[in-house]
Amino acid sequence: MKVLKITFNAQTGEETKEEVDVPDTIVTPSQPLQLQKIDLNNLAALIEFAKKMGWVK
Amino acid sequence: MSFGISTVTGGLAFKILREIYKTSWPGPSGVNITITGLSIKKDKLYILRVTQRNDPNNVWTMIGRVFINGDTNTAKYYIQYLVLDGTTINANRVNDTWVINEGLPGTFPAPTIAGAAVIYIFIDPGGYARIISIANMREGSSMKVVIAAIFYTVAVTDITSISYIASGSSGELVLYGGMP
Repeated sequence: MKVLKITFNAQTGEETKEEVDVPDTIVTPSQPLQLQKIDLNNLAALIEFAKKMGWVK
Repeated sequence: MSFGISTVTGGLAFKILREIYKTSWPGPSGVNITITGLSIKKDKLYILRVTQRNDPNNVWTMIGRVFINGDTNTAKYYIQYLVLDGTTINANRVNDTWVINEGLPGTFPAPTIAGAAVIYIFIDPGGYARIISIANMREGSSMKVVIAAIFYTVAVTDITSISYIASGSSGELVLYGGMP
């Protein structure tokens, strides 16, 4: 993934900008937070969540 | 008796901060900003102000992380977060260092996600960098609050650089800090 890399030195004021390739793991959460409470005992809610995530159709 | 800033004496006025650095970046690519040449021992406190917006046609996940002294290994950080989303409250502690995080599953175009955070960065007497962040996320009736405390597990003698690495979204970053 290409990202804009900006480096700024607060002592010298020097700034550099460049496009660099970075591993997706750095900028993409390996486990995106699902900020939603799921009741594991509620089958209907689990199915709905799985559909929402695209795990099942 | 009178009230107001004019009555404040003895250095209590909110004037200690200077703008160290300000930049903005376009979407949808991510950004990796590193500000070097810092010294928390000299400056005492840094305040990072970040605003971000995703590109609904390209990404639905928006995440921004703060790293200390160039250490981008999230396993070396702990975050304890509290998310207030309507009547839903979520909290957890994990190895990570995000201050803005929205992972909305779905298909394109994704919902527009906007977020703004004020992040305080300093060091404790034991040499551990501590980060406190308060984020105001999303828009309108779906807005929510994210409060996070982040602990960097490596003891340091100083904070000499701060990095902000964010996934695909446009935004602006300003770093304030420094005693005059």
